[in-house]
Amino acid sequence: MAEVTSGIMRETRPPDRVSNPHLKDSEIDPALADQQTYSSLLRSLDLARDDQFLFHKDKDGNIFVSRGRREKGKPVLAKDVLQERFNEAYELSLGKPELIDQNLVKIRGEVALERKAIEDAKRELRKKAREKYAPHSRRDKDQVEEWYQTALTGGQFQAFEDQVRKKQLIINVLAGKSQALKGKQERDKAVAEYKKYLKTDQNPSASQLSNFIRDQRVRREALGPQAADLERQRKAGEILGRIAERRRTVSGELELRLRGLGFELGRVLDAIRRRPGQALAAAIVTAVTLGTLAYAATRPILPSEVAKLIHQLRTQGIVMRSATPEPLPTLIPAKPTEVPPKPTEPAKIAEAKPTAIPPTVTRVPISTAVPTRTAVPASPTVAPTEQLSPTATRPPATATREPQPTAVPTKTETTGVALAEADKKTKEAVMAATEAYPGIEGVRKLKIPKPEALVAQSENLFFDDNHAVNIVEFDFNWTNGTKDAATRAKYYDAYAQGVYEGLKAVYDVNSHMTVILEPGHQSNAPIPPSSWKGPRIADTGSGVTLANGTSVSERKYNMETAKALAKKLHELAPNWTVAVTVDDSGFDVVPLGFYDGKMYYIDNPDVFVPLRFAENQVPGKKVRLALHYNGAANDDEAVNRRGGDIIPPATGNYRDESMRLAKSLITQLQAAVRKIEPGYEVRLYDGDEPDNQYLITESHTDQRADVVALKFDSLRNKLNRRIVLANQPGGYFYDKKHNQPVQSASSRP
Amino acid sequence: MRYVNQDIIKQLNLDQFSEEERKKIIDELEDLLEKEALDFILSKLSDEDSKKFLELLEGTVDKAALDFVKQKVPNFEEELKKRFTEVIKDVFGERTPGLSDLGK
Repeated sequence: MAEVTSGIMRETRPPDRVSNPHLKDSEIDPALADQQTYSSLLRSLDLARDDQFLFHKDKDGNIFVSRGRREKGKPVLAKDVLQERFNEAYELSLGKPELIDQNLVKIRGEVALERKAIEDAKRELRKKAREKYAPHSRRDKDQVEEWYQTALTGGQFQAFEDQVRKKQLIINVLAGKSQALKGKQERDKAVAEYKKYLKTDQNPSASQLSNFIRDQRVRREALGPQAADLERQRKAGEILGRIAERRRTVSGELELRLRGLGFELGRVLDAIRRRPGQALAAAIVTAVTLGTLAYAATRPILPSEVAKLIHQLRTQGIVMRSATPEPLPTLIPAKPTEVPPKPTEPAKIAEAKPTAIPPTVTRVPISTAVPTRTAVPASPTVAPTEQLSPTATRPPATATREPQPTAVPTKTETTGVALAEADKKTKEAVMAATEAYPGIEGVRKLKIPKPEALVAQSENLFFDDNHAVNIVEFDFNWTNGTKDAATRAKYYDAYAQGVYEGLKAVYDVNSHMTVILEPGHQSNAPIPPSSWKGPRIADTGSGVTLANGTSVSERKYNMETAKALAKKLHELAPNWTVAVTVDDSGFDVVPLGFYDGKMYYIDNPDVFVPLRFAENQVPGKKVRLALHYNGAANDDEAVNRRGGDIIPPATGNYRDESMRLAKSLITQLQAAVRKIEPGYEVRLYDGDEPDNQYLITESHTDQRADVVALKFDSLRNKLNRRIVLANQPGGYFYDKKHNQPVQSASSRP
Repeated sequence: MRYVNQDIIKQLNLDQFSEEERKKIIDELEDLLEKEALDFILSKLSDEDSKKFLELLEGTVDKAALDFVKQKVPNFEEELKKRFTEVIKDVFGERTPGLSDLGK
């Protein structure tokens, strides 16, 4: 390892973001970025300490840790295991996401096993302690505890747990890398494919589109068993990860409860496990069975025919999922506030078009000459495709435009859809699928815009990320999560007011901008052992205990927070598009969300084509804010320490802008929240933990690079209005050259 | 696999995984459920009752702890079942109620 480490460092010593996290991108050789990332990881692992620990694997491949140089079989040095991991990670980082995925599964499995090994070993230690000092008296109990704690803090467990935690960092980085590479590969493929069609025919026939879809399917199917195998491993890894996450939360709470009662968790569990026939264990069996069956009963049973249709949809096109969100009883009124689309368009638009756009799309003329297919998000409360908004796109310059009034604006114009027959089948499939899922209010095919609609976008369609400010992470004072709903609502209002004022101080409130709220990220950092005296790792993913004693995961509060903020921000700044990404499930999916009082879920990677298209239609600044609670459950220290922490990205194209925004947010958030909590403090973290923060931020940035989230209202009332009306009198199109929407001169009334 | 039977494996769709993966998941799940059960019980009992329960659990009378809990916690098994349902949903990805199986 030393050779590898030093080798890498010799190569990467020039402008090094690890040693200087404030370097701008332009000052770093991009070719060295990966090496620097992994150099940083190598250093963070502090490998020198690993010599004293040994893993060994049993015949089933389980990995254990033990002390001493030799054990039965062939012990594997932790150092060697990590060396192997890094070699693989480094090699794989050069562009093979599927291999990174394999590696991820392996590391995740190891981490799960190692955590179990730690718990088993602790139990064993406790047992030994009891045997050594039979707990006949209070004094003996103290001796047991002292012996046990000494063994725990003597080095091996602490360091091993630390090592497992650091492995989690590797997982985060690799997963982010994998996601980014996959996104890039998909982008490249799609760009190539679309360009091919754009070049060959700007108005492709139905058969060409069919061929395109078929090619895509064949390519996916060609991945075959390998893809299926990876997918299965990924699922198993996800499940294990969620079990581990939940167990960390409940273990922490349980240990504290039991400690307060003078009992110890391992001993109590031993008591249950010693006698599998014991009545409590039997009760657990019953509850597991009943609970599982109850769970199974809540799951929609997938009829095979519907499954086939869904599969067909997912491989041929895009299935959009929609669902009613988790209720926010006291935060959002039952009926979402409808903010009527205002005629206040971006300043540039106003200049271009003195007459405001009508607030609603009524009697919209639509060209029959250029039938189009445009991304139209589904509303869960509106029934199927017939009611989707009419769509159209900017026509080729030479296209003839014959306005044709639309009788009812909300009625879908399906005329002109090239694949009419395919659409019919799709519609039937969608309806069948919807019927099979009573809990689903709408499943629709999101239509891919016709290639000609992409002509205007051409080169920058897929690559223009340059108008998005990178994440500014804001960690709320998580103790608010323990308060009642009314109090939480006050905080949300204050936060939203602060965010609004903070953004307003940096950007023009009247201009259009997209604020993407990311509820948070799932942390896999373990809760430190109770003996841990160092700083706590406070992060999302752990639990919150409400005032009424109910335990919930912070993720739920993060979503609640994001949704409440989205709503309030939307009220404060109706010109802005406020979007919420719908999940914080880590790096394995790229979720997308629209906010209009309801949430929409899309999980098909194909969707990026129309959505990237869509995003480019909405001009103006994009700001991504990662907003979430941070904190470890029952951690008084963390509660007292934390107010709101703002962490701008340590790197990235928009670091300077993010810093300006962060500083503005500090002032404004603090002022807003102090109105309800006088002592509230917001702090700026800027590279105080360069390695860790850099890595986490980096992986987030990588992951989110492809995340596009737009508010449904925006799509319907702003975006669609521009795209849909592009080829109509008074319509707009997107001027790539000047990076703004402009009104078509030829179509002005 | 102390608790989980074949029916549950099917119900949880665990039969899609390899034997090794399945064993890992089940082992980890059982460990989690034991802790969830304990946490649930202790959250329902007063400190005094909790101590009594734990002492009974470590004692030698087989049904004493369970009887005690049943006596102190109304609808114990029903409530525990609800807690487990929540855990299983959380673990098996029912983040979007009613949706997670779509197309999988």
